Amino acid sequence: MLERYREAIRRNAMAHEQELFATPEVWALGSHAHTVSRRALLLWLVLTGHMDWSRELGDVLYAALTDGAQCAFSVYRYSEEGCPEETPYLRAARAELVRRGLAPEYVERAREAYLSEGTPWGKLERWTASGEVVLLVDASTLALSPEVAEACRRVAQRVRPEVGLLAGVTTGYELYDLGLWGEAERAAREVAGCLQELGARLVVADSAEAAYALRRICPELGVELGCEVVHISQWLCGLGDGLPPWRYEGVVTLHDSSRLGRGLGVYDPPRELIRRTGAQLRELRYQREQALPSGPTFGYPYPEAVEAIARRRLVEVLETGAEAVITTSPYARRNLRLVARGAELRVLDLVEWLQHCWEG
Amino acid sequence: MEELRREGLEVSESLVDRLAYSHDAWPLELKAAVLGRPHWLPRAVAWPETTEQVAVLLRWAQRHRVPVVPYGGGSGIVGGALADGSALVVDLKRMGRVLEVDESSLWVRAQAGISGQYLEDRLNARGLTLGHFPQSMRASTLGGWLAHRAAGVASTRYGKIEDMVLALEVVLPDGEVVRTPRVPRAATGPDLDQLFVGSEGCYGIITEATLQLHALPEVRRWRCYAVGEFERGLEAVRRVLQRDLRPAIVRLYDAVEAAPYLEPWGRAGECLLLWGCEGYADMVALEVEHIEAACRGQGWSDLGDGPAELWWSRRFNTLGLVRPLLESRGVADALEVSADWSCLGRVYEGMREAMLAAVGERGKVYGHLSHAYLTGANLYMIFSAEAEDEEAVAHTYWRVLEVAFEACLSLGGSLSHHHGVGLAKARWLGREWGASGLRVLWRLQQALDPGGIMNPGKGLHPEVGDA
Repeated sequence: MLERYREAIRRNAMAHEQELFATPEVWALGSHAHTVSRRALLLWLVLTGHMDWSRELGDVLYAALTDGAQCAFSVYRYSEEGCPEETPYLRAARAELVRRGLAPEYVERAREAYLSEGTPWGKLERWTASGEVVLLVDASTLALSPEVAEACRRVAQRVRPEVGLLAGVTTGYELYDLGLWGEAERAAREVAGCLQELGARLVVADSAEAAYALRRICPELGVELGCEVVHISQWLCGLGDGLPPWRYEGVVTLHDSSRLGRGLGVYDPPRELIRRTGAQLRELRYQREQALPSGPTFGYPYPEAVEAIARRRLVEVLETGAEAVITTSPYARRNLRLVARGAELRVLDLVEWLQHCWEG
Repeated sequence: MEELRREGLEVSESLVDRLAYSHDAWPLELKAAVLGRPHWLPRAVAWPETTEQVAVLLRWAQRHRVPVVPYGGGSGIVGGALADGSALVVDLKRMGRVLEVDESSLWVRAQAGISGQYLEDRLNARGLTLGHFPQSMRASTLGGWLAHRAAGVASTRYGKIEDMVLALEVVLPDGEVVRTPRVPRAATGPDLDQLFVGSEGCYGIITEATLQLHALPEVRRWRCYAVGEFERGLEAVRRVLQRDLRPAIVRLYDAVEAAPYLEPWGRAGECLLLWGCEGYADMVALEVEHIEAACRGQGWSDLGDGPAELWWSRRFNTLGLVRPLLESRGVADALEVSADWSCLGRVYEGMREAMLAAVGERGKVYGHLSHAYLTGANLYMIFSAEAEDEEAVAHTYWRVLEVAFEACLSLGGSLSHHHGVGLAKARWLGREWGASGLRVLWRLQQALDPGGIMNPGKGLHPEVGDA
């Protein structure tokens, strides 16, 4: 599994660490083991037979944020060959650790929860409604921020009452990222089946991770959806003048979710929606391709470090002077809310914020 | 190590952690580690979170005679942060906060483990800058800058790290904590800050620093010229600096290194003289006026600011040093020396010729000037080489350094302008300082660290360097 990435691993192991400052897990945990080059070095030593797989190695590999910021700053971005992306081989390494029974315990709990109750978070209520356009509300949104799920549903039905609905399923992003690839494929096939039954021709994904899973991970797993996939921000932008009179007078900033931005190249639609409300958008210092991560997604081997990781992004947010930070990921919303307590700052999902603008 | 853990310190002896610290960016050990043959594998790694924990750690190390090697970003390219199997690596990255900013007096106090870029970002948000932009700033820490006496690309205006230091907090090898006073200047004995800056972890562990700041510049302007001869470019830089001007960025690239920047302008084959002036608009205008006067009438091509924008966008590009290492027989390094204006040209030619002869047909040698002074400047001499076989890589590397530093020192240059000594240059330290100078360094080390635990086996340690 890992052999496919042999050259990428070797190149990263030999690199100068120009992305070090953009790897917040290093600074939260304090250890050089969590740098891109050392993670690559450790995997290279495994590949070349100098080291064995181990739980300690697993903890290091699962502590990586898989956000892809590496390539925005890597020394290899100056090369013709481009940057050897770390995220694919980290996920492949995690899959290998799962296969060997060396993944952290929370990974196994996620697998058990999915197999017994349908999502890594356990049993969640499901809703479906047929339509050519189907809003997909991922299990992660329901589990982490049910108010955002409700906002997505209300906004979608306001602008297009005929929109269908598929809520409470997992698109498999978390399962894939954790190395549970068999389970991820099963989840993706279930979603594909549901969408087919609902008659979907266009899926509107409510979150960055859901959009990424449907557009990037499904093909990796050999799952064909049979319909087009857009993120909800893209869908709303595409409706042109058909949007409600959202108005906001104030200053906001936008945290580009790694999966929507670097993952799918979607940067402008959220900005366009913000612009249309009349809000003043103050950009973060590190934005778009250079957006720094807010923290981990599902689970983390070092839970005590999650706040420290998020706080590095919060510092940037506070420096804009914005009254709200908008994001498109339930994980980013959770991570930033964790550390925004006590600060005069609201942390809102994009659609959640749009709903506030609409309803006042 | 259990004793340290009982004191609340996190310490690891796991193989995974030790391998993570088995190299810095020194090419020989970087290659060895990736080949699975690290020569430097520490005994353990510790992550203190407070100055008191650093003090506890050093007292413990003295009691048990355990060598200690401080570690920051691991970006040093002279092997200064390598630790052998008896040593404890002390990684300061959990001590990475901005502690205080005084916008009236223009200083910042920060912990030594702070990321260089993170520190600069926090200052920029307040309209301030440290003015320190080494090529490694995204990969290095404040403590590393201080320990190796670092210099950044805009140093001609803002100074080197030693010019920026106002005060330090240092934990001495015996665990005592020294805090130097934060004043603009004092005549109360020698400047203790300057004792520790450049000490490469041999005189103690720097835990905090107070550094002077500047307002973010109002404007930045570039002027670039394609220059026929490197020597004439040196002369132009000398004249501008000796006019008491201090443009932030001064770079003179020889024809080989200038090629990628000049090709878009059809001037490949010539040298690139690049000036970057920044600050208040009226001062910048004056600087630019004098630079233009110095460069006018030389028969040089005025390229405006074009090559500079390209250079600035690629200023973190170290591929020239990384790519050769990916080849099994390849090696590369960047040697940075300094010399007076009177001999700088000879140092450049002498080093270049000697290194070209050593790397042979399959190697490359190129260089540039990047930090200028009233009395002289720094020179970077960069090489890549291909050894006869994998086993000969180290031999090739040392042969190139041998001839390079022999040429440099014999022609009046200094061993290192800002990378430090570490392992890479230790064997020539005696030539640089002479026996008397070396004895002063040894006596300082022995006075502060009689147990000899601080970063042994490196340039400033009594075991290394010629008497």
